[in-house]
Amino acid sequence: MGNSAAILRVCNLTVQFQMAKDTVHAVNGIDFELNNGETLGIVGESGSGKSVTIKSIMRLLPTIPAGAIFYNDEDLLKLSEDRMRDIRGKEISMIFQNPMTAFNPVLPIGKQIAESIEFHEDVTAQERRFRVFELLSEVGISNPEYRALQYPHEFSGGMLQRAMIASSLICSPKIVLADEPTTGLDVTIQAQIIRLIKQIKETRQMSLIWITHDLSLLAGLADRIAVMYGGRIVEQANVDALYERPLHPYTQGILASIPTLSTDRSSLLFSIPGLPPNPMALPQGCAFCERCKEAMPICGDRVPALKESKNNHLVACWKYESECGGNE
Amino acid sequence: MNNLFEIRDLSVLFQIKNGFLKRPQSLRAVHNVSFDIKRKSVVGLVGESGSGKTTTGKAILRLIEPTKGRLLLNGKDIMHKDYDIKKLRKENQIIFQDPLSSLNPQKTILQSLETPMIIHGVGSDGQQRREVIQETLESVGLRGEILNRYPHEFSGGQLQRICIARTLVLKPSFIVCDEAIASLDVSIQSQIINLFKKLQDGYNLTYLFISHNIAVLKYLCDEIGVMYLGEIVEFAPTERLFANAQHPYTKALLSVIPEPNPAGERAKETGQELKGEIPSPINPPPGCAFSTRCPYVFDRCKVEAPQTTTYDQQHRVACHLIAQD
Repeated sequence: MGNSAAILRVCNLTVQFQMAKDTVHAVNGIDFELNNGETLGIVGESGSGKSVTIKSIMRLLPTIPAGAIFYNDEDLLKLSEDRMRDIRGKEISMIFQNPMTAFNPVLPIGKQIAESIEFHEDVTAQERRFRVFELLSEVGISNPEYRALQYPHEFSGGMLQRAMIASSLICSPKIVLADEPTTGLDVTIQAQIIRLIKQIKETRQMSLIWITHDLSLLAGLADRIAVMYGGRIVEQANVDALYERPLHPYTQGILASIPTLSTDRSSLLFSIPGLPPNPMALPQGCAFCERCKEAMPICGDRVPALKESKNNHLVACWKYESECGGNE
Repeated sequence: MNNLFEIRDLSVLFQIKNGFLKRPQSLRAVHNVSFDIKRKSVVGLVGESGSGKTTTGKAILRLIEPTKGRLLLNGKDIMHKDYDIKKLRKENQIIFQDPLSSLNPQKTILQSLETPMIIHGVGSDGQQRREVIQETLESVGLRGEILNRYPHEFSGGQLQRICIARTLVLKPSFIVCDEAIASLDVSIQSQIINLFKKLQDGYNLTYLFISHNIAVLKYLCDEIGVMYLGEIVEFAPTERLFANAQHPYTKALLSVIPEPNPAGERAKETGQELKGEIPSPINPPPGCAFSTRCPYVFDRCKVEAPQTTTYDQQHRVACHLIAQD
C-alpha cells in the first residue's frame, strides 16, 4: 500500500457500562489504527466488544468512553456534540447490521437517504433527489425514481441493505464503519453485497472497518484483521499472515474449528472447550486463560500486552513474551 | 427396510389473505418434494431463505399439515387418519434455531425436560424421570445441578444443549435440526456440531439437518438436497454433490461460500455470483423456478418446468440442460 498514513487512531479505548450492581467491562484499553484506503476487519464473538468499539468511534453510546480516538488530529471523544454531528454521516458513517430496524418504517426510503444531505449540505431539493436516484442505481437498485418513494417493508432484505449502504455513502464519507452488514442475508446475496462494497470502496477511495464474527468472510475482504476477545485485541496482523500463521491460541483455535469444504468428515472437528468470558466478571489475567491449552501460571495473574512479534504481526499472549523482546 | 422416511410429492400451500374484499392468494412454500431418509443417516437441506427448507422439515413431522403428498415412516403412511400422532411426536423431534425462544422462560430446566416425559409416559415416577434427565444432561455435556435454574441464566450454547437434551429424553429415532447452530458463537458452533456427531452414534439417530451453511452440511451429511423456491433442484450423496454439481443453482451456491483462505478468496473470479433475488413464492415464475436468475437460461426453461431426472445413480437433478443430454 502506497499511502499508509493513519486516518483514524484509537488509543487506549476503554468502555464500561454501569449496571445496577455490576460493571460491564465491554472494551478494555485497545489501540489500533486505520490506514488511508484500508479495509480493517475486526472479528470476535458476541460480547467481545467489537460493536461497542465502532459505536465509540461514532459516539453512539450513552457514555463517552475513556481514551482517545484521533481523526485528522481531532480527538473525537473530546468534541462537542455539535461538532460531532458534523462528522457523523459526512466524514464517518455507519452501515448497521439490521436494515429492517435501522430504517424508519413510516418514511419513504428516498427521504431517509436524503436526510444526510439535507443536514450537511446546502443544496436544492431537486439536486438532493437527483443524488439519491444516482446513488440508488450505483448500489444496484433498478428503477430508483420509483423505489425511492417506497417504504422499508416493500424492500427485500438484500435490497434494504443496498439502500442502507446508499444512505451511508450519500455524503461521500472518508470512513465507513460496517457492523456485520451481511449477517442475516443469504450467501448469494451476501456475495453481491460484499462485491458492491468492495467496488464502491475502490471507486470512492474510502477506508473501511468491517465487523464480523465470520473469519471466512474477511479472508477475501480485509487487508488487515484485529481479533478481539474479552474486550481486548488479542491479535492483529495482515490478512495473509493471520490465516497462514495465526499466533494467538484463540485465533488458532477458531481457525481450526471452522468446518471448510476440505474438512475431513471422519474425525471430530477441533473445538475450543468452555464458554466466552462474561464481560461483567472478566478474569484477572488473560481472558482466554481458562479455555487455553497452553496456559501457564502467569496467564491467570496478569493480562499480556499486545506486542509486535514480527513484521507488523501483533499478539497479546505470554507465550510469545520472550521473543517479543519484552523486558517486564 | 433401509429407509426411515420416504417423502413423495410433498407440497405445502399457504393461503394468504390480503384483506376483506380481495381474494386470498396461495403461497407455494413446498412443491412436489420427494426424497428418502435412510436409517441412521444424515440428510441435509440447503437453500436461501424462502426456499422452503424449514417448511419441508416441519411438514415431515406434520407440524405443518402438508397440502398434498405421501409421508411414509417405516413404510407406514403418517398422513393416514389411523396413524397414532402421539407416537409420531415421541419418536420424531425437532430442534429450532433460537434455543432461548424454544424454552419456556417461566419454567425451570427440570420442568421443561420433564414435561415431554410425563406427556409420553416415559419413566414411572419422578425419581426415575430425574435419573434419565441427569443422564441425558451429562451426555450433552451439562451438569445435573442446573436442573432448578431458568433459561435466562444460560448462554446460547448451553441452551442449545438443553434443547438437544429435551429431545433426547424421549429416545427419539429421528431429529429435524432447523438451523440449530446458526445463532451460536463461532467457538461454540464446533462444540455443538461435534455433539450432534457423537449423539448420532450414542443414540442411533437419524437427522434431517436444515442449514444455509454448506460447509457445515458437507461435514455432517451423507446426502444433501438443494432447495430453490419450494423445490428440490438437486439431490445427491455429499461427496458426489461437491465433486460433480450439475444444477446451475448448486454451482452458483458452491462458488460463493467464503473460505478462510485469503489467497484462494482473491483468486476467485468476481462477477460469477448470482444476480437478482429469489422470486416471490406467491407468483412463482412459469417454467423452471430458477429461470429468472439462471445464467444458462434458454426458451424452454421459461415455459416448461423441468422434470427431475436421475443424472446417475442416486444423483437427481431438475434442469433442462441435464435432461437434454
